[in-house]
Amino acid sequence: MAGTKKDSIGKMVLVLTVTCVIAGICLSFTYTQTKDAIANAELAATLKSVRKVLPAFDGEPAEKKITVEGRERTFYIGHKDGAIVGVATTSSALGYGGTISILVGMDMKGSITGIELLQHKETPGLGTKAGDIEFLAQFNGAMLKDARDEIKVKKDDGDIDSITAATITSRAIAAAATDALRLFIEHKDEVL
Amino acid sequence: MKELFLIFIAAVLVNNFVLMRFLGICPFLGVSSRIRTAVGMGMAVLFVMVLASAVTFCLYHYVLAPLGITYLRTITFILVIASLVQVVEIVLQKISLKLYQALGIYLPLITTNCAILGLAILSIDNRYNFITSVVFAIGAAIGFTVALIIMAGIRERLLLADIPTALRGTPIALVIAGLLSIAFLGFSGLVTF
Amino acid sequence: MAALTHLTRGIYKENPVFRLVLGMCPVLAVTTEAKNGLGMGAATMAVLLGSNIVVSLFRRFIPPRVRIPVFIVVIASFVTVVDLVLHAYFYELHKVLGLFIPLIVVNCIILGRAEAFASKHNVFDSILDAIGMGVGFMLALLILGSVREILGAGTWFGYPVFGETYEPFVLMILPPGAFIALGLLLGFMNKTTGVIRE
Repeated sequence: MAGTKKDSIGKMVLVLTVTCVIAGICLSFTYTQTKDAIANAELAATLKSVRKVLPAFDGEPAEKKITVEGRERTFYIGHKDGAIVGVATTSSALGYGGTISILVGMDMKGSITGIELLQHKETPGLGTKAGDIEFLAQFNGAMLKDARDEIKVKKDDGDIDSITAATITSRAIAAAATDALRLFIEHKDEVL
Repeated sequence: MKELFLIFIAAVLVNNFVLMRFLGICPFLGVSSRIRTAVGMGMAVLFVMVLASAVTFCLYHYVLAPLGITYLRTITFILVIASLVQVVEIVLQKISLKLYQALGIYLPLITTNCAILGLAILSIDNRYNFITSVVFAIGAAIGFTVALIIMAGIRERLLLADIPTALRGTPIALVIAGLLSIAFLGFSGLVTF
Repeated sequence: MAALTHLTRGIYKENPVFRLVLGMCPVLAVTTEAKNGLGMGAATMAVLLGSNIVVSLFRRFIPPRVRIPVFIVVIASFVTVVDLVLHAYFYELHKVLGLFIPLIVVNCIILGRAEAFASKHNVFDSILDAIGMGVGFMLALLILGSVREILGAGTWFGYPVFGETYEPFVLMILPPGAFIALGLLLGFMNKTTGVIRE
């Protein structure tokens, strides 16, 4: 029986190594097969949102990335008949339950054409009403007079009706919208 | 500095791993019947979590990402965690045999504690840097321990209460967890400006 | 017939959630809607099936002392495959289930079945066991998800159940609702089946 313990360790290592190698091969195979489908799915989701917040445009939106304060911001530009009809960018603000991230579409004058709620952790039934069309439609047409202007809720002397019992969420959306508009005003030349 | 503190508080209270994120339920239900074992489990989890977050961070950012094999994240992370738990078991056997025996089967079960793997993945997805990941881990572990200790305190007292037979054991523990969760819901909104 | 027992056991007598009390984390987390519960159940069953088959196929070649690490590698591989496939072809579901897809790897049900059953039985029986346990798990997720969605949002699979005037019991879709609903469900099961599981 003297040889069995030694064989056993060698066998253990062998089995473990073989298992890991086979696993690695199967996984890299699956990865290469699904890689493109995943990229397409992500892209499709982004495009779907961009289409919602911009006026009608031809084909696919162009992408323009700029770096602001160390962060990369992406603008999606929609063209129709050769002219630019609008740009969209994501922005975020701290809400009640965490960061809220939205996609803001605006036309060349810098007025909002649509907002889409992308990600949030707000309270169901209250803060989640921020995704309601009625609430978001209020932002359409809003624009900043200059880079120092802000979009505010009525409580802060602005024009937006906050969601009942969800003031913090409403303020966050307004802040994020302001951030997006401001970004466009300040970096219009780089984007277009 | 302020941001680190906020992340810490958020992990302990606002987004408590057990009562809000549903991570670590199995040990939470299994080890929370006595305060002493709860504390011991909490300490073991703290140790494993901090080490795991440090190692998985380095593994992800210095090996997986540069090589473009981030899809191997699940496998490598769980193997790292399993190994760390083995190490903790050996160390604990040497340091405190009593605690080792008290924790019994629950120690190797830390491997399947979704809180640890969940923590590793959350740190990566939230793009925390190294220090933030470790602070997040400490907060998460303390939050886990706090929830465990409160639960143990309640369950120790519950032994004297007259509970309907159908609800004894896990059912009533879950209902209590629900009540605790409502209490912790009160912390939401704590971390805003 | 013994084979039939392997299949039905996981559904009722040894239902992983209601009887064995395993796999709690995803059960509580993803059951905010019935649809999500079903998706999670399907993903878990896929992994369970894969791992049971592989473990059973190679059970004679795995030395006992390394069996747990080997099981973990096998399970983690299937989880990664499921994760990639969902990300590619079921984008919405993947986004909703999020963190809990990779967490399938630490779902005690899968490791538990590999250890307790697949490593000791032939492939056919292991497949039946996986299907039984998987269906049982899916059923539990479906039941809890339905309870929470109907009470908490007034809908079932997105279809309104009570009409306009229903004031949703929002607590049900928040974390406390999950704990309380599952606890009461378990208590109810104990009472009606007369079998006390602590």
